[in-house]
Amino acid sequence: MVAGPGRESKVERVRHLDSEPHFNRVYRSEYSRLVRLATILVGRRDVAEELVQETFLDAHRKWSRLHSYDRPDAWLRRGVLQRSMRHRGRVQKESALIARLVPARWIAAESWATVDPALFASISRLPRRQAQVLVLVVIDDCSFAEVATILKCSEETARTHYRRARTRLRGELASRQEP
Amino acid sequence: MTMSIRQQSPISDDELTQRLATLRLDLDRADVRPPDFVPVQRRRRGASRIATAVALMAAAGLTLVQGEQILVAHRRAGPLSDTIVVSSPGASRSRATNAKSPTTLPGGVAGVSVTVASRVDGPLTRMTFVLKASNGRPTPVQVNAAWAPCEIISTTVSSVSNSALGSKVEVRSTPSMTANVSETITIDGWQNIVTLVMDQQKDWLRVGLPGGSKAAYGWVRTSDFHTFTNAYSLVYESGKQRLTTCKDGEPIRHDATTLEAPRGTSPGVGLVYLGGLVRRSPQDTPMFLTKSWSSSFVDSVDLLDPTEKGPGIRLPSGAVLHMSRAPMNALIDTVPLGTPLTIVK
Repeated sequence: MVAGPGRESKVERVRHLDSEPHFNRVYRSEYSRLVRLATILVGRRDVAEELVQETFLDAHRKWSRLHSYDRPDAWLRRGVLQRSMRHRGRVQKESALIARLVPARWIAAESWATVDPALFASISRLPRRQAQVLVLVVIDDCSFAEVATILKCSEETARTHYRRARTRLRGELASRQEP
Repeated sequence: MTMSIRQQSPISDDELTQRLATLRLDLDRADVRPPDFVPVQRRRRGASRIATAVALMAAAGLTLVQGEQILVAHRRAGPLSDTIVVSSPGASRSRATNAKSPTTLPGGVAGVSVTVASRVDGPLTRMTFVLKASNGRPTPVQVNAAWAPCEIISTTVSSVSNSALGSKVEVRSTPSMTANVSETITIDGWQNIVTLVMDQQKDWLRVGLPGGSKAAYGWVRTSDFHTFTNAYSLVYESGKQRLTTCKDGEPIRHDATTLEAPRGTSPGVGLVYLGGLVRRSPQDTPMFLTKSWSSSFVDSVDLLDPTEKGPGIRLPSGAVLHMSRAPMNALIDTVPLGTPLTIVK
């Protein structure tokens, strides 16, 4: 797992949220982290911001119920992950459809600016659950117990997805390095 | 002959960890500050869908005018519809989505690239389309499509009218003289038929039909009607109870308005048009120049001064826009019959 120097621990953040379950505080506290999560999955910062905004809109509407949750941040993360995966699937379908109808050279490529395009592309090709677990662990510093809570699966399942994601990434990255 | 199979060896776990750490540091460096939360949905993502839609339209043989501007009335709390309704000359109206049945689209494939710029302006999103052909030059285009549920308002709308006393207009199911007459409209002398042109093929116009008991649309001969271009369009936001009047796509005024649907019905959302106007001269009793048009949703909207509301002014099936007297009079003096009105939530 990648360590986050100087980063507020997950537990502290959750306690902080629990003590002040005000929507704006949650919004300010979680926004940037959720944008990072979504950016990895959808590959575009602007789209990620919009997906996070949509999630907060949804949360805003349901806040009377959500603020009593033990982990409103888990609800937000799950929402962002689901929206990101839906967007990813839609983009893939659109790309496939347009590629069938319009010559590829006339389709403007989306900008996937990153320091490591190969890694980015490899993550985007991961299966849904593996990608979600990977970004939660690597990007958001979640423990496997937290991942299990967010994704509503067992801790062992989360570990398995994470292990498979790494194995798959290593293979993908190796194949991209081959001439 | 010898063959060699090269085995790809995965990168090491340490290297993967290092690259993930670098990726994360890159993300951490990005200055992601939360903007002030505004409980309004941003529409940026809709542009890619519209681009997809336009690409589909191009693939279906439709052409778009370079720089053509289309206004999209959007719902505040929902995404733009993924469903696209396209129509092209010589082809029946086809329904396509981003993922479903693309093979049903008529026509061939055009080499185009699409640039879509959008700007949110109140309840409207302005989309500017620029298509380039495979030779890099702008492709001349004619917009001939609408997104279901009719959320696109073209900046110019063709309407038709027929006020010839006693004349009969035959409505056919297809644009052909040999097609069955689905309905006959008789001009009874006091009403003026005005409707929207939904499609056009040579000497035929596809227009809305009165009554609502049969098909909502039909084909009429162009020579039976007078065609005019309407620069005005209206957008009614039922959530805000606000009517926006646009001219050439530019919002020119907003008025507080309520929409009263006929009893037992719901106005819903979608594209309707002004089927009739109710105007009262200062000295005279109200003069009705209206005929209600109905289908599964409200097809026509009548403008009615709320002070006129009362027994004898009920309309059998049309919805009524209620406004105060001054803006209503201004609106009646401004927009003609046949002006499209898009109802959004």
